[in-house]
Amino acid sequence: MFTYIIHRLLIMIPTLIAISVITFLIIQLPEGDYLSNLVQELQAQGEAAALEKVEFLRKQYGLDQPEIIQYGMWMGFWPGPTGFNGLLQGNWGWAFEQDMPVSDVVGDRVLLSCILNFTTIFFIYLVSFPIGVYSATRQYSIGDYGFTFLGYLGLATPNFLLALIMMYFANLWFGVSIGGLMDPEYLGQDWSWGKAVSVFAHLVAPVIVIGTSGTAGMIRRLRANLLDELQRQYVVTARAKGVPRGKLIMKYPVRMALNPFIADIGNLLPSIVSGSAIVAVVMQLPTLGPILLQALQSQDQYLAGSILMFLAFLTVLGMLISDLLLAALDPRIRLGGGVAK
Amino acid sequence: MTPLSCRYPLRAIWRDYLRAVIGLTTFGAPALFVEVSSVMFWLLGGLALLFAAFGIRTAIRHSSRVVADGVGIRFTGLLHRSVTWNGLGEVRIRYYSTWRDRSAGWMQLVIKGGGTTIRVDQTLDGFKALADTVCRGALANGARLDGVTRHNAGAIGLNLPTESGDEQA
Repeated sequence: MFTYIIHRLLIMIPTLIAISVITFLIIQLPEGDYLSNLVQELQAQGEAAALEKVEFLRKQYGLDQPEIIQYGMWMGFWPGPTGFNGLLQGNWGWAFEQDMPVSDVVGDRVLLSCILNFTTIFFIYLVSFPIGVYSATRQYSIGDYGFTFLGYLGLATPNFLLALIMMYFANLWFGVSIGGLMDPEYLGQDWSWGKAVSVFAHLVAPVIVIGTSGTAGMIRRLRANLLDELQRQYVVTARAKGVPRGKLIMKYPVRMALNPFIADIGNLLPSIVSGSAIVAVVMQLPTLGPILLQALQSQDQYLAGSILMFLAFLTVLGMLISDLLLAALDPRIRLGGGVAK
Repeated sequence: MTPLSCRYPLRAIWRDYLRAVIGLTTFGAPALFVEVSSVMFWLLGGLALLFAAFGIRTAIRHSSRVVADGVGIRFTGLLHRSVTWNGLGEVRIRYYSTWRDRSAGWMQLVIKGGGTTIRVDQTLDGFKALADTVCRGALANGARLDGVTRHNAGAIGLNLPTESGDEQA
């Protein structure tokens, strides 16, 4: 397994480099940058002092350099005016619009985004596993039809629409606002027990909103996989030998059916992150999504690029976790595949 | 029993040395330019240490031999470990691949017994013969081989007897 971990970590290096290049190129695609737009604005207003600061920032972040140098400085591969000081060294760059370091702008949002996304994944697995097993073992029962109907409903409903509906009815029936991720008195405050409790209490609604479509898809996949396994000969043989039903299902077919279920962790993370961006805007969640949207609109390249790289890192990490779990769960060779010579 | 002696030849293990060097350079070099108090220093430093450990393990493997004889299985070299046939508790053959279609992977033989674990990868010269000897030794000493091990053993061409003593088809 140690060798496997090393192999997988090495694969992450070119993957992350490729993602960083693509991210940088996409951010550079629109003509101009945030500072160019600002210069035009300041020139129109005749503010010479502010123009000097803009020029300083342009030199500091190498925006007057060729794009390949800009990329190297942003990543920390190429020395800037302060030496090697890029993403690799933990410097997320400067948020031009907010006029402060990116790390200060994102602040708690990184942690809150991680909490929201990982809780959503946990919710998806917690809900879809028992329902998927139930639906497969009681195929065509009323419960199976009920969950299937709910699953289709979840798949067909856009997350942001579900968020709006939940916010409307929560206000109408209970007179409460379910937007935000904490009570207003904790905004901008240091972490405390009260703030943590408030965050977890506010997580319920967004986790349900973001996780519903993922849960629906996961139930369908687990049900289909388990149904395939339940029809195999070894299950029939085990039944004929008198193996108790619960033990038989959990020990063999469920274990086999879990493979695609676990492999989905890697796919789940990016879809949740991208799906949660719109929901975060609708529900006013202080996560990375709204800031990313704002940064892309204003061409604030370091802010947008650093957030995108962080999300890409989370995705690659999700793939790594899912691959390690898969390798531990099913270390069989696939006949027809091949062993390296 | 004819003693069987296997080792990791350089032609099979040089890629592991290269992996260790690439990992150590990629994660270790940037760590030198980061403040010690930074999270990145600990992240990059931790990963660099992991690759350093991998390099050390590769060197230990390169200088060692795996011997199976009448007494048991021995891993000789800088780290000496041995499992006797009588003390053999568990034998597993596992397959790992980093490809999506799970092709181009490698097998690992895990031998456990008497509180000791010996792990050998398929790059070992004579891996198949060693796996065959160890699996047969395990069965002869009453140890059970799990389904995954039997499946993987079949894939590398081993024809192991079943627990009732018959050779598999």
